[in-house]
Amino acid sequence: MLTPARFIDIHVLQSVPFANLNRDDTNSVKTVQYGNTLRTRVSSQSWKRAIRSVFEDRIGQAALRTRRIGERVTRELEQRGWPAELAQRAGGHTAAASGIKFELAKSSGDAKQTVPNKVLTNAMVYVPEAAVAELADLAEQHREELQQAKDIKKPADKSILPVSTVEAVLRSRNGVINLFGRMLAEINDAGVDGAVQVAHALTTHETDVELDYFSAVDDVTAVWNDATGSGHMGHAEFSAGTFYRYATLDLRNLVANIGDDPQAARELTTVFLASFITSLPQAKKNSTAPHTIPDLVHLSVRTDRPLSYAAAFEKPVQASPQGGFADVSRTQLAAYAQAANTLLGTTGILTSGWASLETKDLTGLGERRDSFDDLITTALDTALTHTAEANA
Amino acid sequence: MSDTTKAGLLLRLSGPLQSWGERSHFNERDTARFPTRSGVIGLLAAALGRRRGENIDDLARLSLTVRADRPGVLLRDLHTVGGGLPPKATVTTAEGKKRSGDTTTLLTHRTYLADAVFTIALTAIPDNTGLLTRTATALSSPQWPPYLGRRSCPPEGPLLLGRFDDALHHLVHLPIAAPPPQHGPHGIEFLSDHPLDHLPTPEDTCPPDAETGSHPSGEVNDQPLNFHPRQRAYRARPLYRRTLHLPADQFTGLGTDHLTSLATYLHEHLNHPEGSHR
Repeated sequence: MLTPARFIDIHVLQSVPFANLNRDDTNSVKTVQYGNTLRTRVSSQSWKRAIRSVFEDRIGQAALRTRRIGERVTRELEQRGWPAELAQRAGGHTAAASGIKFELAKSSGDAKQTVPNKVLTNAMVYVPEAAVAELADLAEQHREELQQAKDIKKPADKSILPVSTVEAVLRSRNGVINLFGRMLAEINDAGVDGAVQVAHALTTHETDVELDYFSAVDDVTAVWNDATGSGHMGHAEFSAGTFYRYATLDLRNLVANIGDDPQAARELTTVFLASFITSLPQAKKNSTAPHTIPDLVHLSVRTDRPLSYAAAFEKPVQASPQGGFADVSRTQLAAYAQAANTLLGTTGILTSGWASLETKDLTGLGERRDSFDDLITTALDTALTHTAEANA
Repeated sequence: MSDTTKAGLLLRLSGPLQSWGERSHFNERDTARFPTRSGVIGLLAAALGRRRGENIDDLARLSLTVRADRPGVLLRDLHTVGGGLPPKATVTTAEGKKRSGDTTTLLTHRTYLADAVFTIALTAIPDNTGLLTRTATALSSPQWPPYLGRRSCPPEGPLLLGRFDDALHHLVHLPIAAPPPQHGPHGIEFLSDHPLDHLPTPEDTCPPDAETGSHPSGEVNDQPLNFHPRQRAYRARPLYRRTLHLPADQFTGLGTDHLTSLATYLHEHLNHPEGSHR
């Protein structure tokens, strides 16, 4: 079994212009008080979803979170040339064998009428996309029994498919699940503790939330010019700022989730870090196009424990005389890292480095790298070489 | 060893957000105003690599005394699940029913404690040096990443300040992670599961007529019995409170400034904070 170097900490400074990446129930910008000043906040859940969607795209793997797993199997079997009626029965039996309580979908025409075999599990399953094909294969093995079987018409109906086999498929994982974790309470041992921990992002400085008043022109009124006033008035909230973002990846936990596969560990970690760097929640993107890249990324591989540098910004950054928060944030981050290294010692740091638009030296953040890719590769080389040595 | 000089560990629970659930239920996740015993013991258990459901009796015997450096403010956060889907395609409610409406986005509210810093002493009764050593080692090199009550709340900076022969003395004297009070003395609150009238208090720090913490001010239902996901159980324990007016020069500010003062204090009183393996 691999014994990797433990934790990869990633710290990002990123300036985002006038935007509202993450709203609350009143459409307000999410905020947090820190160091007795108000900051803009993007919740960890929001940013994590953005990371996961980039991650799934890049790794070419999807995970399916759905209550309609039976219908997906039906469609798969239809594509394999099964007659529609039998494919529907097979889909229903598959979902009914999941071990999760279920109900039947209502007919679109009559809400009181249920549709036989259209089984909706009461809880969502979260499975690798490949699980659909595996469940369809299982149905193929039991095709004759399915031909003899009755339709699933009510939640008490029993499936003729083996529950243990279906549950085993629903327990299967892929990279996405191994990395981000899964909560699935109704199937024993299907829960997976995620290997990444993502913190809420917050601005390094005090921010004022701006109330943007807007009006919408009525085009007809504008052409005819026969009335004054606008067609609609409203307001929206936005803010701008430099965010501190932090996440940590537990390599040992990841390896425990995927089993002894160093290549997979490397791939998942690389893609996670790259996705963390480039992802951005997409709220109100058409109104603000806030598509920035990080100003600075700092990576460290630690053998002791993860270490957030949020307190570097507990005392809020003041804009530099020429204006701007990025430059001052970088300096403050480096100074804090230096102080933390003095207090805790550096024996826990296996390697650390940074890549930035900044070209000045930043003591405390390790070695400077030319690109984000370069930074990730070097960090992983060390983390995984250390693995090899620990195994030798 | 008298009652006032107990060996123990000092920890620092600090981060932009913390959340110490007390009565959380389905979609409403609350937080207490201070780290709960169940939360702290869970943190220790995770550092030690104990899985949910494993025995925590030894940890549950540690005594917890909290110093609220900065008590923080409550933050209520909205979280949505299943946005934009028709009712029948979204998750079932706890009652097993479907929600009404066109799109039944599930709303959950989570309360956090923002801008809070706590220093805590974990003392063993009777002094259990083996357990303290194992726990200290685990906190410096934890099995799973630590968090302050919820996974999205990682601690910042040093978590373990060290192991002290007289933990409560240092709990009173360590630098406070807050700016010096502007207008006269500022009360720092201590909370414990044991009477606080024996707290080693320097002269002039006890406000006249103040409670000495010899009697409980209430009860908290946070003594963990079992962390197994399906058999989680807690019982009530007394809560003792006491306020001290600590000297202004003990307040050493925020961020890097505080970290530097902390390093100086630990260097003077203990030559091995977390990380530097003696």
